[in-house]
Amino acid sequence: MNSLTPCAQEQEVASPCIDVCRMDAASGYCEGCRRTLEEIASWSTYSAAEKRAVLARLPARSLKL
Amino acid sequence: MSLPPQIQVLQRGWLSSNNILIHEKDSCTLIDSGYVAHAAQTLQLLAHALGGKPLAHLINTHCHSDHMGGNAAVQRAYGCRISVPAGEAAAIAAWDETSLLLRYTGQSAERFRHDDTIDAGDSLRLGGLEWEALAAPGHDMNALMFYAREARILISGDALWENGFGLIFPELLGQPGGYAATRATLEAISRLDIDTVIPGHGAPFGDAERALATAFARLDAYERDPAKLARHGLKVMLSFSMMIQGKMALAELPRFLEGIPIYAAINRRFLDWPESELRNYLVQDLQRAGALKLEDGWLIAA
Repeated sequence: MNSLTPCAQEQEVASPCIDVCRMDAASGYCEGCRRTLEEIASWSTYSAAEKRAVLARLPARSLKL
Repeated sequence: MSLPPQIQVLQRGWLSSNNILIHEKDSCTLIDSGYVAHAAQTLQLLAHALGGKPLAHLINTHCHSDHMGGNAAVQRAYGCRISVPAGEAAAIAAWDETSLLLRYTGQSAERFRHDDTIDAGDSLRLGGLEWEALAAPGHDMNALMFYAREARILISGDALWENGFGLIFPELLGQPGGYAATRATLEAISRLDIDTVIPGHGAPFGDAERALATAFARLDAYERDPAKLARHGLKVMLSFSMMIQGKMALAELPRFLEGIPIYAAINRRFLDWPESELRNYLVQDLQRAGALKLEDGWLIAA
């Protein structure tokens, strides 16, 4: 384990969770963070680049409440 | 940092703890079930992760609301066996809302019946690995952590996070031994051979040494100046309350705080500030930390 392992970089991309944690059935997104169930469930397995890619997609998503 | 494929970490937030799934070929074990208000999402995440596999067993590292709030819902959905730390059995059986820090903190959980208990020193075989249940007192005096020696993985609950650890409630509540217990737990962790820590909150991480250094420094600072622990504790309590509430009129805050015993108890024990000064301090500091917004007389969880 050294500081050059991917681990050090991965931890820099914070989870977008804001503790609302309610899925909007119509859109399939969490009402709080706008991630899909798959994105939330798999978050801890994503690389830093994959996490950033998810974060980049979020602002364009709207709920269908 | 990488985990073997049979260990699946559903990373949640602060109000809900992480949910850790350990897969066998034909069934699964879940460690910690999140907060009651998030139970629907917890069940949806579990259904997604399990893909039709039965959930046979649910284990709690400790019985705080953010770790056991989904227990009843998960048990209803899957009929799983529930194991709690042995020290919590009496409180769970009686559903003692005070010692479980529910009524006392303004937090909720759905009552559930546990099936059996786990003692420090017990061994569990999960996901093809042997896990030792280790005592992890401090944040909660009955907490357990689970260590897979072969894979060098520690499921730490709230005893150790990447940047800190859970509030030392015994000290905040005026019960003896909280600092010593927290220190002993960190020391026990430092003696383990660890490649990966799966914390109760936050991402799994590899650098246990760095996390321990941070944790010891924090503990030293709190022990030298308990008022620091008290201020931190009050801020954490209010930010949790706000996560639960979502939003609250600022004008409501005095009555809200009066209705939740832990605020006055910590203030009286450590700070003895006038209530208005405490409120101003909490609101300003949480805004500064980005945990709270104040807009048009409304406090909004950020």
